[in-house]
Amino acid sequence: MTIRQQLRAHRRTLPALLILFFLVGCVPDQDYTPVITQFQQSSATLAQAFETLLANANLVEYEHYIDTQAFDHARLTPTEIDTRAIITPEELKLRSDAILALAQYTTALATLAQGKHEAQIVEDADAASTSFSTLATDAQTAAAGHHLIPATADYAGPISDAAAAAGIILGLIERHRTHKEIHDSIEKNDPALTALFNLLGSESQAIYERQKSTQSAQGVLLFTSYNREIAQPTPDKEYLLQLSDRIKQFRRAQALVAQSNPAPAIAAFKKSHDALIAVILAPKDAKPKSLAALIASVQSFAAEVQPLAAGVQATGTTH
Amino acid sequence: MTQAELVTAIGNTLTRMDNTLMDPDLQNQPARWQQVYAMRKHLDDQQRELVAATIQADDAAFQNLTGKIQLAIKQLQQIVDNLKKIDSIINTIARISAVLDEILKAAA
Repeated sequence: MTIRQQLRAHRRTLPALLILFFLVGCVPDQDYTPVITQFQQSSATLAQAFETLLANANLVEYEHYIDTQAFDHARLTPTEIDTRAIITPEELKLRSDAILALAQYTTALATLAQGKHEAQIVEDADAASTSFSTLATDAQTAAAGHHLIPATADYAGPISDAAAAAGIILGLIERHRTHKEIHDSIEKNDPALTALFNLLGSESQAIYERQKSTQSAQGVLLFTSYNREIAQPTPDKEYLLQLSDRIKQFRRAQALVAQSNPAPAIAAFKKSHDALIAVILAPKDAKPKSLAALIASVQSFAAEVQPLAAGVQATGTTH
Repeated sequence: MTQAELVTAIGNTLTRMDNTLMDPDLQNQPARWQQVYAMRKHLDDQQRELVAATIQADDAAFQNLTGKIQLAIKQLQQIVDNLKKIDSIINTIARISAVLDEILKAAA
């Protein structure tokens, strides 16, 4: 048999095996492992990309202001530049910690669904529990303190609701309660996390839009400067070359910014979380269907997160 | 319309204005170009303020004002590529800005 024939034979056998598994309702343990691993990797990547996006938010505003003032031949002062900040370090930390806590919580549920060793289940539940507890305290502090984004004051509500709900579920896991108790608690308490997912998604969309607008403005300044210079009786060739280099950088960054919107990845993260909950709550005979939905959701999540991470990382260095 | 959707709609409007500002035909009309550029700067500041504003998106007044913005944006889409209609472009952007001022004033 040639290699091509062997590949064809494999292609025919693999779907047949999968269909067989689903028909007999058998969900072997090893089926969970790749999807859970992919989910864990994607949520870690999302948390990192989200943190970088937020860290860039002020930088992007400062640079946009400096470029505009220089173009307008207007005065520049460090104090004026600083007033362009849209997020404080505390607000930034609160938001990236919220993503991390959600990722750790969902990882703990994934470990539970996977039926891993008990020690690992408790360890993951402990880590998520600690993250949510710290997050709830930080949210109260941030709401009371100085903040640039007024919504920070509104964060305390969804965060404490999410922390309380996750705390109840994780507490049952840590205390080795029965499968039914944990199952019932997830069904009852997990929906309280939805508001936090939604808040993070809509706010990150707004922050991304600012990045896109400031980047687009840079194009206006560059193209106008270039076209003005070539209209001079004796254009400065060196200046034109500097501008052409910056135009090339701008065009590369434009493509990267287009893929740096975190909102679809956060929506895909939530969808994966929901699919995982569906797997945990599904009756035994419905597990294969739920698992298939989970696999599809996690694959979409990974597909959203990979270009996002590359885009956010690159725009942080090229904007 | 939510606050994030409004920020996105304003962002799309800014991008369209930028395409107009990068058009050499408009760049050859310095006074007109400067007028559109000044409006771009104002709308940009408004978008930045909007990101940080506390807005009750389910409020009827907010929905009414965003309805006006959506209508103006729709009209802008039809004319933004036609520099012969630059006066209409400028008027429509001014309308969007004026409604945004109302939203930001209510949020302050």
